[in-house]
Formats: sequence, structure tokens, C-alpha cells
Amino acid sequence: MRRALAVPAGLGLLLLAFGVAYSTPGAPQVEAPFVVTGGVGDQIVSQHLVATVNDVALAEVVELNSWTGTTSGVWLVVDATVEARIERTGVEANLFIAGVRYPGTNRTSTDTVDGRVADAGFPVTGAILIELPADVQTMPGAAAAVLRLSPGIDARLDSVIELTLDLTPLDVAGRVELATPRDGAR
Amino acid sequence: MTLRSHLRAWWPVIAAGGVLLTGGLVAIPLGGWDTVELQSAVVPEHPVGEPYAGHRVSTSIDDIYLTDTHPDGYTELEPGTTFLVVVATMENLTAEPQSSLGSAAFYAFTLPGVVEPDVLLSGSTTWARLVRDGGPGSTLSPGVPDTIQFIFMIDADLYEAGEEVRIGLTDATPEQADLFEGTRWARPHVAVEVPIVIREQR
Repeated sequence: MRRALAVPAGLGLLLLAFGVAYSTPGAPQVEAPFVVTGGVGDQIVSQHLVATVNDVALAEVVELNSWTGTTSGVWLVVDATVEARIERTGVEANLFIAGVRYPGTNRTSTDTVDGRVADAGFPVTGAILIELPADVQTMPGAAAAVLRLSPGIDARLDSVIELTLDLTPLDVAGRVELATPRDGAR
Repeated sequence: MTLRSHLRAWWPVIAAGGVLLTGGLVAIPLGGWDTVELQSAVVPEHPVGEPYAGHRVSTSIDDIYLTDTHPDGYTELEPGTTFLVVVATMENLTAEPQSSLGSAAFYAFTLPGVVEPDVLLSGSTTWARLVRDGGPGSTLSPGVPDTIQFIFMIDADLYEAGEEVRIGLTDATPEQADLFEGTRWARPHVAVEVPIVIREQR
């Protein structure tokens, strides 16, 4: 009787071991940020930031202050209102499409609302610009792109704001004129 | 034991030693053994203007020239120096933003006497600018190609116009890093070389 049970018991334990190994969370899961989600037009509040994404568009050329931004790809233009929730904090913007990270541009100095600091009680409205591949609308995952606003570049185990954006139906404008960040909500 | 039994026991060693000795004697008048160039060690040439796709970036060397005027129009030379400008079209092939030039452990390209593996470049004598608008060209977003001017302040007598230089385009193997989050680039090496003549642009 014992011998008859030995093989199935051994196989069962092996399967159990595979299951444990397969289901053990890896570093990305263990260190994932704490996400607060919302939609366009919603005021989203995380531990560090209060943000409202007012509008989203795609453009080939952007004009911001004295700078004209051309690209071999296409610009994602996000109009957003951002403030710190409790104390001064940084604002970093990234877009994720199928696991690929596209950062907010550093080509405009401080003329966007990301890449700078935000203060509590002082909302600032302006643009976030992200360079994307020219064929982004046909890329896998373009219908569920995730815009993340975080206090720093390293978002592991930190509180972040995320919005899911569908890039596929957006018209690509030829040229968009933008204003520099201004105090107050939109 | 008799001599015969000794020889019988040591026969394999004697035979092997004899072969080696004979080979050495034959090789000496023929120039020795180190006369074959390993084909695996030969770095292939790559044409100017053609992109080479590694694992991290695709790079095309488009131009190289000497100039006494920094492309930004205001940075001045130190005494005894000049600017060497390398123009390259690059595309980030990874899923994360990448530094266009890379780091000392894995530069995107090598340039003898200027960009050498494992040698740190000074931030005060090295610049990366986008050709399209002169903006910062130090970061490449995934899948967005761009043409970048890499500007190096070098000794004025290091290179001269008309001289051919071989720019090495590098590659490495991406691996999951253990000590930090992200990718570790293992075994960086020069994959191809681009022979190009330095222009003068004053």
C-alpha cells in the first residue's frame, strides 16, 4: 500500500513545488508602486500629488515659448494640472506602452509641468510632452497606454498616479501651440 | 623493471613529446605557430551612413569633422585644443530610455584617443546635441531615431583633416542585472568598424 502511494505522492509534491515556484512573486511584483487610477478630467489624489489630466492629443510639431519641437516620431501632448498634496515634491511623467517606457521630454527646459517641482496648494497647469514612435497608434498596446505621474524617477514602492489612455483614435495635429506653465487650474 | 618495460609504460608520453618537438622544429624556420589570423578576431568594416543594429542602439556614423567653433556658438576652446564632431543617427532598440553615448562600461562607439572603453569622459569637454534643434541629445526614447552631434574637445594635434579614423560601433549582451534593477550589458565589444575620413569645417 505504501509503495503504491509513493510515486503519486512524489509526483504530487513535485507539482506542488512547481506551483509554489511559479506563483512566487518576483521583484517587479514585490516592488510595484502603489497606484491611484482615474480618467481624463478626474482629479486624482495620490500620497504625493494631486493631478488632473485635462486633455490628450498627438502632434507632429509643438511650439512652446520660443522653442519649436520637431521629432522623427510624434508628440504626445498632455494638458494637466498638478500640485503637491502635502509638501514640495518632484513631478515625473512616463508613458508605458506594452511594457516600453517613454519619458517626458527634457528638450524644453522647465516649460512643461513635469521635470520640475510642485508645491502644496499651488496648482500649476501646463503641458507634458512625450516623444513617441511615428507608428505608435498601430503598435500593440496603444489602446491601453498608461500615463504615470510620480514624484521621482524611481517609482518602486511609491505612490503614483496612473491613467489609461487610448491613443488609437486620436487625430495627429500638424502643429500645436502651447502655453508655458501657468498658476491655477485650467 | 627492465628498460623495455619502462619504455612501454612511458610510450604515450614519449610519443606526444616527440610530436611536439618535431612540430616545434618544423615551425621555427616557417615563422612559428602564430601566423594564422583568427577570423573570429577580425572586426568587419561597416560603411559610412549605414545603420548598424546592436542590442542596445542602432547607430549610423554620418560625418566627422574638426572645427574651432562649437556648434552651440558660444563655448570656447581651451588653449591647444580643437573640437572633433561626430554626427551619428541613432535609434534606441530597448524598452527603456537610453543614454545616446552610453557609459564608460559600454559606449555606443569608440574613437581612438577620444572615446576609449572603460575611460571616463569629462562632462566639461563632451557634449551631445540634436542636429534638428540643438537641444540636448543625451537621451534616446525607444523607437524614436534622431541625428546627434557628439562634440569632443581634443588636443589640436591628435587628429588632422584628411586623416582616416576607424570608429568602432559596439555591442553587448543584455542580461538581467543582479545588484540593481534593470539591464546589465555583458561582454561589450567593438562589433564593426567604420573607416571615415575627417573633414575640416572651420
